[in-house]
Amino acid sequence: MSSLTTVIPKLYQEYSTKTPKKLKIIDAYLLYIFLTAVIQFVYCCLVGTFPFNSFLSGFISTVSSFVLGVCLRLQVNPENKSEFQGLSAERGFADFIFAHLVLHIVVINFIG
Amino acid sequence: MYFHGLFLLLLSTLALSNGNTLQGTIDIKRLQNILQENVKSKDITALYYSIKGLAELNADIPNICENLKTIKYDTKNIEQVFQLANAAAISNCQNSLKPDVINPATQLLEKKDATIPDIYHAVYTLRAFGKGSVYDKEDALKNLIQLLKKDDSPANYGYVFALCEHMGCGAWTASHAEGVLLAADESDSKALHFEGGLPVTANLLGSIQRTYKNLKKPSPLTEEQRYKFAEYLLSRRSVNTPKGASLLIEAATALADDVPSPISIAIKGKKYITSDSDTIEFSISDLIGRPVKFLKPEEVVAQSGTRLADDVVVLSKQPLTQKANEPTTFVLNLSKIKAQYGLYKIALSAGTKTANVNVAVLGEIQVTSVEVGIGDVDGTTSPKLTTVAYPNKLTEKLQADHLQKVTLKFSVRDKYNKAVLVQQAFVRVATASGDHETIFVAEPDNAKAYKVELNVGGIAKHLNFVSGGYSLTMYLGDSAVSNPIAWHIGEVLFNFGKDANAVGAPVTSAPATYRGLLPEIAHIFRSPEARPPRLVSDVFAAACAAPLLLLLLLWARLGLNMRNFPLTPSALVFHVALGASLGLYGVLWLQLSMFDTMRYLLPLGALTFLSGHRLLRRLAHDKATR
Repeated sequence: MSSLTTVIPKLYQEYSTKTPKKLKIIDAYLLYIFLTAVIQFVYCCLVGTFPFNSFLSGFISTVSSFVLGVCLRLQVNPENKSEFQGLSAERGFADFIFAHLVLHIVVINFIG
Repeated sequence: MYFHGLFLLLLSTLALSNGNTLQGTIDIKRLQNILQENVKSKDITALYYSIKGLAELNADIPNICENLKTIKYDTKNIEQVFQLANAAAISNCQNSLKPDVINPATQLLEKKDATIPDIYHAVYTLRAFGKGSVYDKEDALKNLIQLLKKDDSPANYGYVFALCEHMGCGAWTASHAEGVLLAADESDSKALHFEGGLPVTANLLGSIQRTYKNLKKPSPLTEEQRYKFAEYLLSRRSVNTPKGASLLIEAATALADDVPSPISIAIKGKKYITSDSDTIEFSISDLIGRPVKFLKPEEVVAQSGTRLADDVVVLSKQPLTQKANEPTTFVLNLSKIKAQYGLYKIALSAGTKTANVNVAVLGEIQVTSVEVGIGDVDGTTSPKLTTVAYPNKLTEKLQADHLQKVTLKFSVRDKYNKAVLVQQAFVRVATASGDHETIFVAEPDNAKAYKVELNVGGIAKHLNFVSGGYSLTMYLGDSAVSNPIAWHIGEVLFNFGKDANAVGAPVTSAPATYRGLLPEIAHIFRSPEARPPRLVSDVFAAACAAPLLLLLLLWARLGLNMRNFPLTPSALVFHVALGASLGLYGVLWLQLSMFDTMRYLLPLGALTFLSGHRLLRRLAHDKATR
């Protein structure tokens, strides 16, 4: 128990000092997406899923956005540079934007 | 009256079932009337066939020379030229036509590609004007045989046979006629005709018969073929046009003149006997209604007669008598069998031919009285009996409830007071208005006494459980009975007990079958489920938006700012275009269709791509150079 109380501040400190600012921005975005999904899910549990397609598209939208965000974070992370040889952060961002456009036209189409 | 009509209909269908004879003749008088009506026709085809048919019948031909002078026809149509020329030849009017009438025929014969029908018409046109000898026999026949090889239809053979009559190549006809006859089409294995119908059949039968007569040879037709061709001609006896009438006369005369000709055995007039008139007349004639040649009156014999109901032979070898002045009418006296009514089959032979004929012996039936009894179903009390004499009615209204039964007993007797069975014996129970009725079959017992039991509780369901007054009617009928009986016996009051409806109460019946247009089927959307109150939805909408605030807060804490925003056109365009794309999605959600959206999105997407590409390339470049 004591280890946990020491580990968490340590972890937080490490994170705030060692993580590049760009990644922190993306992490904030991911947190936002995650919380939105959680709230939608809570709503669905409390009130019901009708109309189901609207719930589904909203939930899928958050989940997919989260996945895309994680992908972007992976590509932008300098530690993974060797994995994405020849792919710049800007290229990753362009893909991210394109994927979002495609994703959301489907989501909007499905939302009814 | 109704019964009468029904049973006459039945008789007519039963009346004849023949063996190997015809069952009718062709009414030459009627055909002749058609021809005479059309002999002054303005139409060359109708006129020609009328003249030709009348000539065939040796009837008087009126003077039509003036008509022929003015009649309209097509000089290019060789068939019409042929009809004009031959009409003139038959009526001896050649001199009133101009000699150049036959020019089309001469021209046609000079052509190389003339067909067989053309040649036939052309040659016979010339012949009508006495110029037929232009045709050379040997070469011509060879040429025709060549043409026949191209198209050997029965119609063409008919024309060639007819040409041979003119050219004198009857021997060739004789060697080919049998083959052609075998090529006739058979329908229902009953009738024979040639492809092309009546014109071709008439032409072939006529030319074959004339040719063989000239050669003094017996006709090539087998007996079966004669009868089958005759059947076909009989099936066409209702023709109405002069052409049809003329062709039918030609073919029928050809068949009838050709000994032994097919004979027809048919009932003349009524097909039944009663006790008053006990003879049946038969007409025995050839195809066109003439007396049969070589048929001696004593050869017409009713070989046997059997009752259809039980196959009992009732007469044999009974000769018929020929009616005076009517050589085709033979009379059969059936006084021996008139006592027992029913349907009889008589085998009638004329010479070597036999036909089976069904005749009916009509009897009269009578019913003297009916015994109406009302008793308990369980038979504990003896039934109360009422006897009603025909044709009276019950004097009082009988009453019966659902624990009782009504019994009707009667017997049917013939004219000689002998109990008989009839095909139909019914009792009808109906409301006074006749809206609801039920009919019960009366069954005879061994002593031929009929009995109907109406179990009041049992018949309730047939009468919709409507208690009240009903009428009882007895119906007796038979196809061989001349006086069917419908006897209204009286009224009965049925009480169906507690299940009953009152008379006149609306009776629920099955809905009528829907006819006409069915209602249009509209798609029904799933009805929406109950939604939460507005407040809950709003709170959660706000809750969903809340993390956005958190995001902005976090970003602000991280020190995010717009300081590095490059103020270049590409950056501005990129952000505006991206925003516009997302805005477009919003509009798609609210009102647009996918196709409209795509139309707007494609240029917008291209713009976003180009500007974004440019912006990001510059950012990457900046980073590399920094």
